[in-house]
Amino acid sequence: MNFTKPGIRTWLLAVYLVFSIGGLMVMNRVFQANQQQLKEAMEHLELSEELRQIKLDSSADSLKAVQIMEDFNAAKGVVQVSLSESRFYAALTLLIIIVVSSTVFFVVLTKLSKPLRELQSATEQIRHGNFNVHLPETGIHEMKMLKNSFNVMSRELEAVQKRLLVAEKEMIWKDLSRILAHEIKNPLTPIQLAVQRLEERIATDPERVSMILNESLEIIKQEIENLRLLAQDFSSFAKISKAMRENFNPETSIREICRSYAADYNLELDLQPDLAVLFDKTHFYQVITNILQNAMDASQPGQAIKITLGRDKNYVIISIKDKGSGIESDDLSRVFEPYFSRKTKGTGLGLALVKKLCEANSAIVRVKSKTGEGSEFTLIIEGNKA
Amino acid sequence: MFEALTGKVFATVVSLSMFLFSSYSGNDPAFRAFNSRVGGNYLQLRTSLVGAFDNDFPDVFKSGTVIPVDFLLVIKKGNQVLTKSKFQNKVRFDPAKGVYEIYTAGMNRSITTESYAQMLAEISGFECSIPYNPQWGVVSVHLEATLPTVRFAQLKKPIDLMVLWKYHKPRINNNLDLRKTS
Repeated sequence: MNFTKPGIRTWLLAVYLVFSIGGLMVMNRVFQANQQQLKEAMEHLELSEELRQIKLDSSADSLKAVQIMEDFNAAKGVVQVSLSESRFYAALTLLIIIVVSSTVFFVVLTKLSKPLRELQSATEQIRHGNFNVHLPETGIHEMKMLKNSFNVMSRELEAVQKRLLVAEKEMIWKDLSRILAHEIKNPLTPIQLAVQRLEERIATDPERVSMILNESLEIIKQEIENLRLLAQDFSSFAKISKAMRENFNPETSIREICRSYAADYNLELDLQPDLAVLFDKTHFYQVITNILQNAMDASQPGQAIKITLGRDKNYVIISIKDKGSGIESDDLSRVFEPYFSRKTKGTGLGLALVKKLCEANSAIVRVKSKTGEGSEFTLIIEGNKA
Repeated sequence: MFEALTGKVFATVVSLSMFLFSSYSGNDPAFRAFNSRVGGNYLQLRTSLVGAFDNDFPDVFKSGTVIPVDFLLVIKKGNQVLTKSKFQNKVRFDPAKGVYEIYTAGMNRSITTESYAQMLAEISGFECSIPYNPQWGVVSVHLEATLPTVRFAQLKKPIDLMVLWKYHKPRINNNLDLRKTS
């Protein structure tokens, strides 16, 4: 059972109960005690019997005594019935007062606390980023003022949010334009130089054009290929397809990927067989390739890159560890940000793509690095026994 | 029906307020079961009030003021009222003689007694003889008792004696098959 800390309403209610109802009950007890005393005093008055015992000498005395007895009995009866009436109405009135005052109290309390609840709900919406929330400016003067201030605040927040969104969009476009311009300019320069060389040779020594033709065409083809890859990188980052998760053996996939690089790089594999991961297979290739590419870019020729595959409880752990230059501690938190790169070549989208693909497959990617000692990327993937 | 519901709500409120805020006990009157008999063309009905005059009444009876007790008898067949009669028992205390003068309306009888217990038995009793038609068949008999508002000579304002019954009207309903009774 959850017990919340008592709020202002609970305290008000407690104070009301203690002082109001308690006070009324004490008052009632005092009146009741007084009435009871009166009743007991009356019970001891038996004048008529005493008078009847007295032997009266004259008829005048007898008549007078009778009159006294009549008056006394009548008065006693009246007092008795009045007393009963007052006791009855006192209790009834007290109950009615308590019921009515409690009802009025609850109504007033509800009326007071309703705007506070509205305000709380509106604040909650603001907290969740919905700035388009406005309260009706109703209620008592202080509440109207409070709601008005809240509405002004929410309108200002909404305006600030809109301005921020516009600024953010502008910044993204500027960044993207800068990166695209830079990345496109890089392959264009060698193409332009190759074309210029060919033009000069044709103008000065047309017979020996064939000597540089093949080399120039190779350069142009290579740079066109670089441009194509650049376009492909941007396209894959923008269009991450929905993950079609399936169970497969990660060992086989990792071995297939490593086969292409085995001739040029020193890859050490320590892979546990008979494991299965739940992951989109295409995404898995992209993730491993990108991390591996990153490790190869950071490593010197011949330096070992170790890939391990193991299991921890229900998760499959893949680690790719290089002994390259490592990542500066200040940069470590930014390596998964789009367009962030300290490499001389690359778009800065590779590791950002890795993170997005891992998120799409409910996997986690972590990085540890020490400058001069290398980096280790760890993938934690939901797994099944193969 | 609405009247009965209101009565029950009021009775609950009164009971609750007395229970919570007062030591006032008052009286809780009720009727004994009907005793019915047929004699000639007359239906004789007899019952009495119990618990009606136990508290607070001794001084009221001794005040010398006439204290009436009203009875309302209604005989119905379905929703049709066949006969409706009002009766009033009365008692007055004579301080000079120390006796109660009682009049019971149902049997049109006046008696005098020194005994408080006898006075109570007489004033609480209801007995009447009313003409009936055997063709009425099964009828329902309703009897209700009330106390009127009384003006005491010593007090300027009138007092509703029903307060001593906590505004609870004792009622009794009974179905009678007059064909069998006859």
